[in-house]
Amino acid sequence: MKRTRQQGDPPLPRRTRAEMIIRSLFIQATNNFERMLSLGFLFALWPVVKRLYRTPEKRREVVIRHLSFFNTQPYFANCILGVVAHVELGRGENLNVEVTNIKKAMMGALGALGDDLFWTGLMPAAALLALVFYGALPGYALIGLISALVVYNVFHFWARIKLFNVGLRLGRRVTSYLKMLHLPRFAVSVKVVASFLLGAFTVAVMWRAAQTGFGGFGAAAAVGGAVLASVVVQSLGVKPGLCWYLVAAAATVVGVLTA
Amino acid sequence: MLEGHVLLACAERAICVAFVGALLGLDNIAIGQFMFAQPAVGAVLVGYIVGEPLLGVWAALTFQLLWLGQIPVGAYVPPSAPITAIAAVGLAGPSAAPLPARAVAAAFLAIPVGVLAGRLDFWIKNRNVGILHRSENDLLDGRPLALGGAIIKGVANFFLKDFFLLLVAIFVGSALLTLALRHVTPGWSRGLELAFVISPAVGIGAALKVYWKARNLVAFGVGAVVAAAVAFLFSFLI
Repeated sequence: MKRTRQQGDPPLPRRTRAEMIIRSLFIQATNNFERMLSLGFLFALWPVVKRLYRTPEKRREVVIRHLSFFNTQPYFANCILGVVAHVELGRGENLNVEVTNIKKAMMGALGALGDDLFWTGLMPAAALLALVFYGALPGYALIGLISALVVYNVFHFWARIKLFNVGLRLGRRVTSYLKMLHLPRFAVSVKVVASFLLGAFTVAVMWRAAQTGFGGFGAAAAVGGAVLASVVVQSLGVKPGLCWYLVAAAATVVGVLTA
Repeated sequence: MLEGHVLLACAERAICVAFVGALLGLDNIAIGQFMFAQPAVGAVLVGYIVGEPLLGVWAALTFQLLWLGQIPVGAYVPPSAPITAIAAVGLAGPSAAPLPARAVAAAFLAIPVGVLAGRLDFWIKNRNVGILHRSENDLLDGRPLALGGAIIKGVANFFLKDFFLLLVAIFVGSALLTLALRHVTPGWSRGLELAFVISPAVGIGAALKVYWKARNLVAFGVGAVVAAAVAFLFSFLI
């Protein structure tokens, strides 16, 4: 039996919502320095535009409205996409002003939060989970690889799907929902987990080094020394790529001399 | 001079790695960001595809964390870690030298490839301004299909950029490295092996610098102690 729409349901059919979420995967495909993600955002919103506006004049208005500068973290863009779809579906009087204000108000804050949470938190943490496996058990690399992909994408898809649906249902009130999630605090905790994994990874690399033919403890100590040296050298402003060349060249020379 | 069969092997490897690498590279900006492009996943997958999983694992260990704290500011463009790691796997090529020597020599060439990839990303984002203007005009003229076309062009731009960069860099670079590695003496080979072992340390240093806060450093220490205890127990078990 077909389920009837109930109060509190998101104001769009499941198929349209799914189409919008799939389209949002391409939000950065035309990333450009003039208006950043605006074209990708309009592409993701288009199923709603098609439903609401049938005449070319109305659609022209929508195009002008949504092709202004827009930039945020791509996963959190779905939250804004949901809120904007909610506002478009409401067909208010001053849509142009309202949509522009919402996008401006949300994109900066969500961009900073998303970058902090995903790019310097969850992404390195998930990668470190794989690296710990690779360092300790390189023969079982696939287990580490799959674990990292699963852990990361659980959060990734939660952000894309849940935040889109909540934004669509709550509209502007989504900000109270976001506050309730304490995402900045969560980002701090994720970095603590990443640091824990980084410690474990460091020991795994040292342990591997100790098993090579470079004198056990000496090789492990050399790895530890290289970690400290690279922290110091990078703190002095040397770029990581150059730092890698310096460490690799020094290690090669030491290896040649001790051969 | 290189023999014909070696050049053919370089070309085969370049085509294979460039195609898979460009597909994985789409995940970096153009499509999804599912983490497939990250060295921890992408380089390992490419390593499995070319039949050298350990090489892929080493590239992941070396390059995943190296540019963690680097963000584009002003004229500075950070290198592309995904393309660097994938290029390193491709560049290690068909040489008969031991894996550590090939890997480190490949990384020496892969870093400039990653730097170039980062700069080309900037160039593509400038090029996409043209796509934006054309599709905006089409949409205002009542041609909604232009929107899908713009997305396809954007994806194609990112794919072709990585594909041709990796193709040329890996073909030329792996041929040169194969020639150069024939002249590596056992002493130099041992030196490169030490560099192979120590390489991941630089990425660890870069990540430590990013997470340099009291609570994170405590967690780092706890993680190190727990891992050392596990390694100690493990060494007794075997």
